[in-house]
Amino acid sequence: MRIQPSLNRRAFLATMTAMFGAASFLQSIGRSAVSPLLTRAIPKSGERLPVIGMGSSITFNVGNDRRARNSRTDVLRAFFDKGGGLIDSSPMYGSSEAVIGGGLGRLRPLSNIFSATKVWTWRAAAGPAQMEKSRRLWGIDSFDLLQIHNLVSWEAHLETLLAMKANKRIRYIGITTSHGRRHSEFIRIMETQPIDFVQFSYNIIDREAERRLLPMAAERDLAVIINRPFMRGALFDRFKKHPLPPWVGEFECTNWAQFFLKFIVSNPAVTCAIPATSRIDHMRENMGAARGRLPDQDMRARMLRYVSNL
Amino acid sequence: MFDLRGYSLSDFFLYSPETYYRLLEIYNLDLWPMQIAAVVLGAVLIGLASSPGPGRGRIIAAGLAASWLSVAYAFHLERYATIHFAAWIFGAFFIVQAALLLWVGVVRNQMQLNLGGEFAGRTGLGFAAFAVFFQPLIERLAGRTWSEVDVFALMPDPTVIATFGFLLMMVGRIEWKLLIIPFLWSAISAAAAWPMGAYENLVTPVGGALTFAITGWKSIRAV
Repeated sequence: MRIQPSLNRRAFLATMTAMFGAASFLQSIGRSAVSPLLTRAIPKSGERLPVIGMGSSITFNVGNDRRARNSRTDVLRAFFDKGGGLIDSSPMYGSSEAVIGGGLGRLRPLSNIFSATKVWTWRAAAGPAQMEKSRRLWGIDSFDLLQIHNLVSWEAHLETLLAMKANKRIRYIGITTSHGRRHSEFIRIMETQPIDFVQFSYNIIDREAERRLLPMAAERDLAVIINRPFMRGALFDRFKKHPLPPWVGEFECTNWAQFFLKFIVSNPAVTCAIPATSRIDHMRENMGAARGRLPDQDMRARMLRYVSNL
Repeated sequence: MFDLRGYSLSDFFLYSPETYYRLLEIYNLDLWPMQIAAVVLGAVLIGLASSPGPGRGRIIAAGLAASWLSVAYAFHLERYATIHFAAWIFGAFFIVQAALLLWVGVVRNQMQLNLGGEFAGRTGLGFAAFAVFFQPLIERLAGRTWSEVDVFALMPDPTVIATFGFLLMMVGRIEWKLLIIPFLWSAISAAAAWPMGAYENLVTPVGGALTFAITGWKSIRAV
């Protein structure tokens, strides 16, 4: 048997590079294969939701433009492909509900969607008709969650929603605000009314919610949806020119979107964050935050120190 | 009553600049070649205003009313309403403005125009000419494509600026009721342009402010 001559240096290096590359590839395959989707329980029911959902303000309001509608359907497809569940919208967002409904119609059957919209009219009597119109636009039998948008006429709408929940026409009731507005009234409703969800803004720069809203939600067993997790893109404008710190691999983060989102959903009081995007690559980045390890308390403090020093 | 405490200005314009300009592009392509007819209409109205004579005020008022109606229906109600929840309100206001122009200018024949060397009249003529001929050029220079420019009688901003112009040319008592809705639209236009970075559209609120100043000065001088 003839023995092969020993490898020269170039062949040795090429072989080693290929071996390390293969090992790295297999490790990444293995990690993504074993990393389960991160979910949180809705406190009042135990039903679990993926920690990353999808918002639709601005990004899905594209009117009747067929080209843009097709591209949003592709974004929805990427969302579901990556395990997404909760989609949030509102009658205030122009054509967003119709665009979502059109996309859902093309992607059926869907088993994991958690549909959430809002009622937004100061005329209490107009609430039921608006909710019915939203349902038709989405093309679904019923909503999982209906929220009172920005506390508009909340007393009257809450009565309607409680009746709808009693009749099993919706499963959960919520209230929403954004940008830290009307927090005192918001907290009063959290303390006194039989709601299931709250939605407000929270991110690594705007942490006002940590003071009262998040502790109150935990105390009252309320599910928490976080809107505007990127401050409508302002976080990227501010930080994208800086490199990610080298230690982000410790919580399996590969981009700034995941850095911001994992900071939010690692707060134990948060159920789900709902970033909005019109791009498939950004959707994939966002949904990556719903996999792998989350930062612990020490790491959250380290993340805060890092961004505050930039 | 509606509580505005929970909102910022940008909450009322929940669409991206890309979506808005795409809407405008589709709108202009759908209507082509109406843009040429609209510019010709504007040129005719300016020509009539430049050489006053009997009955011309009525024709100008009717032409302006038709422009406001056209914007109300074709833009606000048919297109803008697909991305803005309040577009039907804007459309309703534009219809009211058309009705006011018909009432004051056509039925009551109170829209008498005379340049007469007056500063207000000459400024008004400049406004109208800017809206009909130069605003699309400025928008093109600002980086929009030809299919994304605002055209008089088809889009709100040049229609409002031209209306300011023709109202500045009016002689006699100032018809404030004809200015209320154009002033309101100037504020809305500024609010929409600012978050989109469409700073070229700030000519509308600037035109509104100048019109307010000039008409106010005319009122004081008339006392």
